[in-house]
Amino acid sequence: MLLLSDFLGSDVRSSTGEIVGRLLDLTVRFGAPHPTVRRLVLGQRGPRAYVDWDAVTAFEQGEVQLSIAEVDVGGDAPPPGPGDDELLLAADVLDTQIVDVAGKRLTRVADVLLARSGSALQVAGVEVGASGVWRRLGWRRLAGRTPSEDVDWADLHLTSTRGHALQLARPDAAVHRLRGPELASVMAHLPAAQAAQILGVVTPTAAAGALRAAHPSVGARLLPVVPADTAAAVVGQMTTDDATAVLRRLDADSVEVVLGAVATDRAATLRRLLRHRAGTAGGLMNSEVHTAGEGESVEMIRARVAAGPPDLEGLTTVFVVDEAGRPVGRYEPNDLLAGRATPRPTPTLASTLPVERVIDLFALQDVLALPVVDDEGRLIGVVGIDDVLEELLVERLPGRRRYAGLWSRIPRRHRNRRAS
Amino acid sequence: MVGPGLLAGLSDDDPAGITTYSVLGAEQGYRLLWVLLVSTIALVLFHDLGSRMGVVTGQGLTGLVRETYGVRRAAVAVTALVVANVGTTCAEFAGIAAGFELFGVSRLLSVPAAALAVSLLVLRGNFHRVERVLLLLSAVFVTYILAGLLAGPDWGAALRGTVTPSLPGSRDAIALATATIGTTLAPWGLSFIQSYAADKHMTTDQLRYERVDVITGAALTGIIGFFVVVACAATLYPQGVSINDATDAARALEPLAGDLAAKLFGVGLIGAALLAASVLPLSTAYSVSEFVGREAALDDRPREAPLFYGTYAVIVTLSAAFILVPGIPLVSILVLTQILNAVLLLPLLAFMYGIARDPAVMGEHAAGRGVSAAYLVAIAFIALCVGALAVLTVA
Repeated sequence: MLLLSDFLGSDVRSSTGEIVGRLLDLTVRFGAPHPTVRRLVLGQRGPRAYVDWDAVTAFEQGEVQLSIAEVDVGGDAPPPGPGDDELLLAADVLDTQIVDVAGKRLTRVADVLLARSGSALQVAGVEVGASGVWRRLGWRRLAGRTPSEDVDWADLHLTSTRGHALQLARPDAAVHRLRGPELASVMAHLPAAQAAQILGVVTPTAAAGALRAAHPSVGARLLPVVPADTAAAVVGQMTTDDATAVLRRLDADSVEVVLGAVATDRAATLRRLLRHRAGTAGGLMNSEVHTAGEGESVEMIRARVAAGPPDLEGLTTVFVVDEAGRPVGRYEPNDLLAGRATPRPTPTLASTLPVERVIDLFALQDVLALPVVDDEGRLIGVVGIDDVLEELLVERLPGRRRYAGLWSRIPRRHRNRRAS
Repeated sequence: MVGPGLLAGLSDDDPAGITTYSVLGAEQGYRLLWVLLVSTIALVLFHDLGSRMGVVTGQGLTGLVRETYGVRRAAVAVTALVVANVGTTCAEFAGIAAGFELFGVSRLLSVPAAALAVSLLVLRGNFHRVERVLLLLSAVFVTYILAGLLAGPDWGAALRGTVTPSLPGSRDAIALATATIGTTLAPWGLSFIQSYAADKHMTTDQLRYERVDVITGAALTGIIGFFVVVACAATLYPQGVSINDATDAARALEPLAGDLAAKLFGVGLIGAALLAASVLPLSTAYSVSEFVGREAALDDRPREAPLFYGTYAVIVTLSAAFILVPGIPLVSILVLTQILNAVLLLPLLAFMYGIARDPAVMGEHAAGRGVSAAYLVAIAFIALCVGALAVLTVA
């Protein structure tokens, strides 16, 4: 394996043996999982020159030999530069940050790994971590004692301005293959502008899946930055719980910009939920709840639930309500399976009940879901055990960031809350 | 939430800062107050730049220097930062030693105990429980405002000293001016504010609020510094009192606290020193990890982040051990380390200037001509002070 840093600064000689410049960079074009080097970038005094790889007859550390006698530095023409689809390995990759998709981390390129493939030179991947840094500083003994870490080219996303833009434009780039926690990891690590660009190029379903896997603050950071129709499309694909968790962190104006482009019914549901304060049962609840009338038998309820919409957040607790819409009992999933004759009694949660009390009730009552009622006792939503877990993970466990507040802490494992 | 500008401002009133400002007032009276003003303006300029760099690039200072200039120049930057931070951490432990000595506790006991306590609290994640207490203790230095007012200073002279640049050609005066710059615009603060902005994922929309936060923090530094100088100029300078130890410095609080001045000063020193002694090694460890390209956090076990924990341990151990060398003059250490800060600021500010002007890095937020000129003037002023001090020291 060859290291790019070993070759940068090498003398480049023409076919006549004259030094025509020093090697400043190599270009590749995105396409294959391991692209081949396309051109050399030379420089000495004056403008840079770009030379096709085909003109290289020898590529050794310290010296590169060309088959051409002269190198065109452009004369009066505009100075050459990389093509729109060309990546510069030294300028756009070396020492820049990358998202290691497989390792779900942000790290920095210490060197670029190249492999000879016949007469071509391929980019195999990058070296990250301290070993490459010590080696490039000339501390080879220390470098030898430090473990080296490599990331395959196919498993990384570049964060440099050109690198990020070029990768986004390639439908076969890593970022387009990512879903869920991996995509969430990339977006969480990028600055808002770059992460928002990703939201704009992946499908709304993929974007919604990524925001679902990320901390709600990631969605709150990105939705105001993307065009309103993109934000609306993403919100349209998110579950009600996830959408409200993100929207609740936005200011009122930003919420209205997003919801203004969302379908009317959905927007109305979300606005209703957002009226309830965070930190209360109303702020936790989901308005999609299965109900049954007092006169319905468990067989009828079971048949209706089986035929009903499958997207009830994994819970199928059915609440029995009276004519006024007040919960009077519940059937848990086991009750429906076993054909329990009568509903269980059900405690209710006032919409203004603080979350701490909600958590206590779940722990004490040993339930899967509890109904939320308004001032008149009418059912307006449901809080499930998953909502309680989300609240605990996202908001309540001590967290850590470097300088958040002074010393507030979020364990890194909770940053992508559903990452595997 | 306390913003990074305000945090950095509060942390600037650490033992090194308070001692430097005290010596400035005790030995030069009011005439070098203009240096404090210039330093505060430089603080606003470069903290604003630092937070902008963090917001626009999403990266900390050492990482951004590496990405922009390459690994060798970034090694220069991180070395300057580490050396400056070791010096300032020495100053913090000197502050702990001086503060406890005001209560009759030997530094041989207080310094190792403080090093251990701070390390355990930070590394075991319990620091957030005591941070508010320490912030409260260090807020004692706000009493300098009252002390300064009660001391009956010559306000005319104070105003003249603030707006009329005059610098005696003596080595001591230039050393104090240089130390004032180094303690006000500390290297660690530049790195801290940029990392904070990047870590919090602040957006460019928030930059104008962040500017308010930076100006507020800098103003707080400047105001407290001003009253420290004025209080010492009004009480110690007329009597020709030199500050050789913390007891001398504490006398400036006598108009406010009378016989309790020393104890009040000691409490402030200890609180501020403990706070800074925990932030500095941690900030440095983050910067080194960032330079190497390996994200690290206190979540990681030592085996997962040896460089992070190793850096932390080396800085705390070296700094505490240095203060325990017999006969080390604490006040001199407190001031000399700030001169070192000013020297090591130069390469860091040069890198920041280059990045600020680069549209490829900063995009539409690249510095325009006017503010670039202001950066250059500030850098030139610092270079002039450092250069003059070097010449006078060698001569």
